Amino acid sequence: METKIKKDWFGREKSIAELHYDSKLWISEIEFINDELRFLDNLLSMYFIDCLDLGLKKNIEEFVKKIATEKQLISTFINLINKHEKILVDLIETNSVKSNKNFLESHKKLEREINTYFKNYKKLKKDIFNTIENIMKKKEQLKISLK
Amino acid sequence: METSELTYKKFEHNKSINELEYDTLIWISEFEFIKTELAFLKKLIQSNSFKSRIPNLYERLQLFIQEIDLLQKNNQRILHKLTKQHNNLSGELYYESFQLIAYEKLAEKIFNYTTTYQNFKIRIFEYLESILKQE
Repeated sequence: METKIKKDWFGREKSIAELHYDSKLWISEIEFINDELRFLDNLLSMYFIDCLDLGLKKNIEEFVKKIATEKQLISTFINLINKHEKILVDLIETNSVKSNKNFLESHKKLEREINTYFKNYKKLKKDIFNTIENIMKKKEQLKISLK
Repeated sequence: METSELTYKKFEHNKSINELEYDTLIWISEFEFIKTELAFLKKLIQSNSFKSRIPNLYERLQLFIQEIDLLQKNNQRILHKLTKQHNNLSGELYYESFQLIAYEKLAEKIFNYTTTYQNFKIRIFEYLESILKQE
């Protein structure tokens, strides 16, 4: 289900603990995606020969490229989140988180970018699932026709 | 791969009804996606793509299927609750305290489900990758 409501915290302020917890959740999710990408990469390798037989070589090549891009984005985001966290720690020490509008804006911006990344990643996964399911179906049909 | 060690945290804040509704829609979208993913993982396991000479392969895969069945059941239950919650919040200007309590209970349930699901995926990926390496 798609939603068009844009998240801007609906006019309320987030607490320092909540801002910090956001970063922890992002890092945990992104690190998990990193492992998942490796699995998807291996899975595509497993079906590579079948893809050649079924004329789906281009699809696989496209997925491999996209996976490589996703991996690069992972390190970019981890660096950005770590830097963002460092700034938060500095602001906590000087007791100026709430008064620092730039920081709050950069948190919102990072949140939007990460959410877009998650959304695009899900789209990639769905496309990979559909292609692999298609291969499995065709392999099964081929087996039946050869019996 | 490491399992998730994050714990659920509840924050004291005054969320508006719009934010509760927004969170609910995001969760519905997430759980719809998990439904698709679980169906894919089940098909993958049942597809005979993995070689049968690996010891206890069939038994291990059956255990994963049982876990998927349970995850699918719980996913369906949570999706049902989320849809109900969305219907209750939709079109209202304010929420009652019992609605906030129900929202928070569901938020914790969702966190626990996604943690369990993520840990399940870590185990299944590790196992399937180990099989792929042997082929």
